[in-house]
Amino acid sequence: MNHIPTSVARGVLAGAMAGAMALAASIGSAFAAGGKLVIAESFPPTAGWAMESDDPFVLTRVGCLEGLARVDFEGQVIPALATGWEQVSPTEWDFTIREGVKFHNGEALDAVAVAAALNHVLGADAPARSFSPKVVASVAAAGDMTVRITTPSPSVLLPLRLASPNTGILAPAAYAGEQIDPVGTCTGPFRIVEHIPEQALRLERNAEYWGGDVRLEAAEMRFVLDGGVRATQIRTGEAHLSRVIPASAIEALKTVEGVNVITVETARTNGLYLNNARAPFDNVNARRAVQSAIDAAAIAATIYEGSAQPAVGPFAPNEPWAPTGASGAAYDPERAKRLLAEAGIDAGALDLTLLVYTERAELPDLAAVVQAQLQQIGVKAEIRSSNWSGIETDLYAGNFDLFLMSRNHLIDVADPIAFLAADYTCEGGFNISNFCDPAVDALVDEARGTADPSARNALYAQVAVRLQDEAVTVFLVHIESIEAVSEKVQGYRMHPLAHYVLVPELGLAE
Amino acid sequence: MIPFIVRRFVVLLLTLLVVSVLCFALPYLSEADPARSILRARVAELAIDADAVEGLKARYGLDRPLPVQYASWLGNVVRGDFGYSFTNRMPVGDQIGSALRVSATLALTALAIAIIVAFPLGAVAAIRPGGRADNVVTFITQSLVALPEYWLGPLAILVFALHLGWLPSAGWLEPAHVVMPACVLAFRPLAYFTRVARASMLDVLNAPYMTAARSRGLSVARSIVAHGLRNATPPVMTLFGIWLAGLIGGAVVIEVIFAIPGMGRLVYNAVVNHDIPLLQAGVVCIVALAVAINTVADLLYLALNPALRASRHAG
Repeated sequence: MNHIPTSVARGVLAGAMAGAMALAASIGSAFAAGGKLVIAESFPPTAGWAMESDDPFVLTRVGCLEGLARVDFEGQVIPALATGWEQVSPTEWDFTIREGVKFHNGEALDAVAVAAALNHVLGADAPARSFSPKVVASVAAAGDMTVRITTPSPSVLLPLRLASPNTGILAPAAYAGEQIDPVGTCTGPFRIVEHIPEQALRLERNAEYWGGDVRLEAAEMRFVLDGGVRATQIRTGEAHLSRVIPASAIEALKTVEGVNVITVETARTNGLYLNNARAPFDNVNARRAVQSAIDAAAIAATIYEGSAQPAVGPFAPNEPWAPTGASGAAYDPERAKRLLAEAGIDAGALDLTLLVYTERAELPDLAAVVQAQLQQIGVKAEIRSSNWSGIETDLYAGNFDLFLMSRNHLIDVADPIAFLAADYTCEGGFNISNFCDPAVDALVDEARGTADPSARNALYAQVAVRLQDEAVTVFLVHIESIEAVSEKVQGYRMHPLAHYVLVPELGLAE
Repeated sequence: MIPFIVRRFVVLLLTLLVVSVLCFALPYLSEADPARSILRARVAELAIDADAVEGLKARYGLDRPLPVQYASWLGNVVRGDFGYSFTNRMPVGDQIGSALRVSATLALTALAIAIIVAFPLGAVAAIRPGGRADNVVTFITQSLVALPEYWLGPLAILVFALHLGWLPSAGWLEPAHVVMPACVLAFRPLAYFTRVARASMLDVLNAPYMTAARSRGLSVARSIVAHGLRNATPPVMTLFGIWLAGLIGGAVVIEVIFAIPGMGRLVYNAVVNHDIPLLQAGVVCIVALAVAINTVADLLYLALNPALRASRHAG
C-alpha cells in the first residue's frame, strides 16, 4: 500500500479552503445598495410589455407609465395626464389633455398620441377587461388637446377605466416594433435606462417631470421570485423595499432593526364557493350551516399566520363599498348542526366534493382545514385538488359541491361592478356559484347607471349584505399585502391597488 | 473513429426527430386549453373572456389540425426559426440563446468547482483506504448527495449573504452572483466525482507497475499526479458530460431560489404558462444538447483511453 504523509493531505484541503475563503472575501461587501433605491419585486414582466397584460402594472410601479387618470392613495380617481373630463352625452366623454407634458424622448403629449395609444390597447388580440371593445366603442382626437371616447352603451365608469395601468399612454415610437418599448416613451417621474430581462429595471430621475421635483436620483427594481429571498434582501441591505413578503417571514423581519413591516388590505378575498344550484346547497339553511361551521378567525391566524383578516363579506371593512359595521358569521358548530336538522338534511349521509386548485400554495392546506371543520358537524367532504386546468371543466359544468377560490374583486377597474356582475348575476360570465337572484341583478343594474360614487358604493354594499345573509359564498379571509421597508426610505406609502411604488415624493436618507 | 462519429451523428438525428414529435405533442395531451392558459398567464385572471380565447386560437393557428401544426413547426425549426413566445411575444430563439448562456455559465462553473475539489479529495481518500481521511471524505460525499438544494440554497443565503455579508443573495447581474449558486450546485456532482476519482486512483495505486515505479524512487505525490489523475480522468469526464447535460436544463430549483434566468426556469415557466413554442423549443434544445454533450464525452473518453481506442480499431 502506498502512503502519502498526512501533512500533504491536510495541506491540499487547507489550500482549497483558504482559496475559496479568499475568493469570497475579495468580492464581499460590494453589494450594498449604494446611492440608489433598490426594490425587490415579486412580479417580473412576462408579456413583452403588452399593454393589455399585467406588465403595465410594473411600469406604473416604477414611476414610468402614466395614464389620463390615476387612483390616488385614498382610492379616489384623480386627473393625471388629463386635466379633466366631461360626459358630453350618455355615450361620449371628452378628456382634456394636460399641456406641456413631454415623453421621455422629448416628444410632446397631444390628443393624437393619446388616441393612438388607447386604440392600440383596444385593438389587441385579447384586449384588457378594463378597455375592450365591449366597453369602449371608439377613441379619437377631437382637437389638439381633446380626446373623445365613445362607449357602446351609457357608462359612468369610463374615468375609472382610464385610471387602469392598462390604459397608460406611451409615445408613438413605443408601438413601432413587434413588442412595446417603454424605454424613452413614458411620461412619468422616472425614465428607464436599462431593462435586463428577468432581472432588473434600472431607472433615473426625469428632471423635466411635469408634476414637479423628483427627489430620488436613481432606482432599481430587481425581480426576485422567491419570497424568502426577498425577505432576506431587506435584511442584507441589498434592497430598501421588499414587496410581497410571505407570512412566514413576518415575525423574523419585525425584530430587524431599521426595517419596518407594513401591511395593506388588498382587493382579494378567499372564499368557499358553494354550488347553489344543486342539493344540499340549493337550501339556504345548508349554506348557512357551512358558514357557521367554519372558523375563519382560526384560519386567518394559522394558515395565514396573521397576514389575513377574517372575512366580513366579499369586501374588506376598509373598502368604500363594504357595508358599514359589517361583521363575519360567528363560528358556531352547534348552530350549524341545528340548521342542517331544520333543513331536513342528514349530515352523515352527505358526501361532498371539495375542489381546490394548487396554483395558490396555501389553498390545499386551507382545504384540509375546511374538511376537518366540516367533519366536526358530521359532514364528509372529499378533497379533489389539481391545477386550475384540471378542475376548470368541472367548475363550469357545476360538477362540485364546494370550491375554494382566491378572488380579486377589482378585476378591471377600481370598482367592484365587473366582479359582482360576473360572479353573482344570473347571466354572469363567471357565476361559479350558479347563484341567481333578481334582486341582486337589479342592484347591479342600478349601480351600472349610477354616476355618483357614493350612491354606487351604497348599492354594492347592499349586494354584499345580501350575499352574506344568503350565505351564497362562505367568505373566509381578506388577504393583506405585506411589505418590508428600510427606515432609510422616506415618504413611502403602500398603494391600495399596488399601482405605484416609485413616486416623486420618495426619498432615501444617506 | 470516423464510422463511430457517423453512427453517433445518425443516432443524434433520429433521437432529435423522435424528441421533436414528443415535445410537440406532449403539451396538447394535457386537459388544458392552450389559449386559456396563455390568456391566464398574460392577465393573471381566472375568469377568461370566451371571445378572447377564440381570437387567440385564430391568431396562433391553434385551431388547425395537430399534424398540420407539427409540419409547419418542424419546417420552421429546421430553418432555425422557433417562432415567438405565446406569452411575451419575444423570439423564442433569442430567449433560449440567452438562457443557455446563463445555464452553461452556471453549470460549467459548478462542475469546475466540483472537479477542482474532487480530485484532491479522491486522492486523499485513496492514499489510505479505510483510514481517517477516507472515512471523513466518505462521510462528506455521502452527506452532500443527501442534502437537497432547496434547503442548502436558502441556508447558504442566510450564512454567506445575511450573516457574513460576503456574497449577494440572489440575482445574475455581476460575476459575484455566480459564486453561491455554483457552489451549492457543485455539491452533488462533487460527491460523485470524488467517489469515482477515489476508485480510479485506488486501482492505479494498487497496480503492480506502481509498486515497480515506487521501487524505482517515484514519490507518492508524483505517482498520483502522473498516473492516478490520468487514470481517473476518463470516468470523471464521462460523469462530467452527464452532469453538464443534466444541469443545463435541470437546475430549476437553484435558478428560482437565486433568481437566475436560466434554461430550467425558462422551461418551467413555459410549462406553467402553457407557452407551447417556448416549451417545445426549450425541451428540444435541452435534449439535443444532452445528446451532443454525451457524444463529445464519449469521443473524449475514446481519445483519452488508448485501450478502448485500440479495441474499437480492432473491432
